[in-house]
Amino acid sequence: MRMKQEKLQQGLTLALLGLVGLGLAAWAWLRPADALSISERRKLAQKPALSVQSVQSGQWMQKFESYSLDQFPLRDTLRGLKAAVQLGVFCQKDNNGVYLQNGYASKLDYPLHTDSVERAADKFLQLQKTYLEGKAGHVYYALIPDKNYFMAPAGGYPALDYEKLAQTMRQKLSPGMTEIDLFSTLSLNCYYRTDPHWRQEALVPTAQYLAGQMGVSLGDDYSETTLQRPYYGLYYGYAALPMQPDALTYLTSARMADYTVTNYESGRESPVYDLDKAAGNDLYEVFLSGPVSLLTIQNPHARSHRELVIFRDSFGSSLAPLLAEGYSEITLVDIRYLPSARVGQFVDFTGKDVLFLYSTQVLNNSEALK
Amino acid sequence: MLFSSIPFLYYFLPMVLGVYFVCPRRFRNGVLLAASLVFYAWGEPEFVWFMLLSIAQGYGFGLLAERWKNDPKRKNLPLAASLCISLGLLGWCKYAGFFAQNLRQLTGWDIPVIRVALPIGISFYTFQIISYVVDVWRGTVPAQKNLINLAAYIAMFPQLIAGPIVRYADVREQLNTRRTTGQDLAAGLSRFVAGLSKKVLLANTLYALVTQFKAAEQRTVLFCWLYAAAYVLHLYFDFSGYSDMAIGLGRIFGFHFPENFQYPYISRSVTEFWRRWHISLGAWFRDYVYIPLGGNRVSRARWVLNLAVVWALTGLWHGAAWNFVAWGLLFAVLLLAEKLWLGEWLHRHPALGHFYVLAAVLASFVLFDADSVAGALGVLAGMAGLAGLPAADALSLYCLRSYAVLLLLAAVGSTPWPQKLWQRLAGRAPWLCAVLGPVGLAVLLVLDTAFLVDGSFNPFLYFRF
Repeated sequence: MRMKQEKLQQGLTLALLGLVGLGLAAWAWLRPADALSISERRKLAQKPALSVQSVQSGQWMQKFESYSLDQFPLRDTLRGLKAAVQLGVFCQKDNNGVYLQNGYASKLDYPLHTDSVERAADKFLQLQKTYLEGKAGHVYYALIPDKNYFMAPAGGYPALDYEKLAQTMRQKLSPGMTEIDLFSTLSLNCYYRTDPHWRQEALVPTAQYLAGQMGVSLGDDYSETTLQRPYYGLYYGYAALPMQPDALTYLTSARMADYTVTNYESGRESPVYDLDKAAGNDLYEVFLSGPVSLLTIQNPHARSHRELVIFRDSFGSSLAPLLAEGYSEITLVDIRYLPSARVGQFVDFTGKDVLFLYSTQVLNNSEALK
Repeated sequence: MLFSSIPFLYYFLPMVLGVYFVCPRRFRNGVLLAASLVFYAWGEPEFVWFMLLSIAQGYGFGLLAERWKNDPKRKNLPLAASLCISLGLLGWCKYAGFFAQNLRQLTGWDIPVIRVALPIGISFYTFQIISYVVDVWRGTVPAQKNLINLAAYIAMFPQLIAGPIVRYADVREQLNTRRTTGQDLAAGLSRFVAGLSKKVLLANTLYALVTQFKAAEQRTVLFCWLYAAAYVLHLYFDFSGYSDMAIGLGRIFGFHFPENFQYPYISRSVTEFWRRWHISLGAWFRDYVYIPLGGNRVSRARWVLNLAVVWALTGLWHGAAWNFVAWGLLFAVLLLAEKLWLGEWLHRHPALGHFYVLAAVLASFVLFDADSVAGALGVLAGMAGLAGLPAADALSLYCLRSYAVLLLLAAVGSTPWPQKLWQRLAGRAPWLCAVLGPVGLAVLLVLDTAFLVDGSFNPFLYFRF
């Protein structure tokens, strides 16, 4: 009897482990390589070319390891399984630093790096001193809370001390710049569930409030257009959990059709909503073509002749089209890509209002601001 | 190459197994050697020659040691030469910088601080070569005449880079006469997957907590304790997992490697702990250093010196830094205290013995993991509440919530309880276990793969040894 049990156990062990091990191995060897991971929004490593030199230097082995991980069969399913075990069996609170709360995903960002916030504030002061003093109109700044502001306290997740962050900025920037508090105009519902960014269709009250604080009024007669393709936000890939993708909706109006967007990187005009980007990895790039160091939006039907320069991060891409209604021209400057020292070569600040519009995530990790 | 990697699991291993079992038996050591060289070259191709040189000298001096064993004038020459080369290479690669730096600090001389790249696994294969040549010199084993067989033993990839330290005497006969039965294959695969799971699911995940602690700007008393607990459990599952994988792979190829871990954290004394932790290393130092120095059959002062030397060397073997020496000497002191005074008392108070061992192990592994002795003392003071740290903060409380279940699972997993529970279940429902066991292993292999594919943290600490 015992012999039979042992035989069964041995046979099953060999059969099952052989099936899993050799089956996955054969699949990994034979399957054609994918070019992209849609969920992770990145290019996948391809099989490296073999050469004596690459083997001698060890580079081939390193590249092969990346290739074997990226091209492994059922990669997304396995990543999801890992996340499920980590959260469901080990009862961990996050997977790869991303946590879920009421269907929303967010990435832990803790603690507050006061030195980083001060560095960002100093950068803004330096810009003000170099380009704005005696030339520009009024200078404002506004902070955009990240999703952790709304999600972390309820779930017991560590989060930034937002009050201290705001206080640090205030101490540095006031009274030379006027603070506009956006925190009270936003809620978790204003953000995508799978991405750190805010949803344009939920931003009209925020845009109106912001513009109102700068002495400009905006309307609210927009039409919503939703992209057919589902939007897998940045955290969707990080979390690797079975979340529903978002839908990306943008707002249009009759006036917007006459806006002229000039992209100074390409030297060409581009649309407010770049639908070519809807076929790319990151659908959020539909808004003003994504990360662009310098661009302008001209509105021939503006209610005033006022002009605005916005120093911004990616959150500004979806907000600026709404603000453009109130200004004859909005210039968007991203000093993550255009060094501050060179801004003066391209932007004339004379008579223009200036807004520093940054998310708390960028301020807390401000190394990218040049 | 790491065992716990996709290239090893799904490319290298299936290919090697395929070629190995297709080949006639007389070529299998050659296949194993070739596979081992590829395995070794995967990480550091330039050091293959270094290892081959070491093997060649071990082979040559082994033959000479046997040939001259009855010649009193020349008997010791091969041993001395081999030891000089083995220890010289190890010393140069691993300790030259350390000694130069300390000499420079001590004397103020303008000695250049040498930085030499450390070949992977050199500490392990050097000890195997030494044990082989010494055993031939002692006459306890005959010299291996076939270079490929000896090279296959020393370079054998299952135990090449992280042990266990397999003695030549343990595998001498298996090198020529081994067979792999279906039972060997099933047992080897089971052991391998169990070890892989210990490493990938537990050790790697626990190390994420260690990393968080090291990156934290603010430390707290709670965080120091969480770190120490996570590190101690991580180290056990990391190293014993690797040993399990090595033993399992050995079994697949028909070898029976010695056990390296026997639930060390259930020990009731440090003496017992070292009978259960890295057993092959402890046995190596006992047989090739401690006993040749006279062991305990000498005066008390000499015996204390012998212990101190052995444990200082054990510490140094783990790394060329003072915290490793201090770590080794700490164990020397504890072992001495147990042999002289504490042993009987610990035997009469087993519960206190467990507590004492856990405290000693926690403290010693904090020292082991530290960048310096001062750094370790800082963490230990933090644990004791003597460093002026706050009791807890948001991050440490979050880590406690996030890792509590894993720490508990790992703590229970480091005891024999799960094994006993399984055996009891197998006694009552043998057919069920005959099915559940293999299914569980297959599920574990899928989970291990999932964790590896996600690119989770996957270093192996014993690489640096």
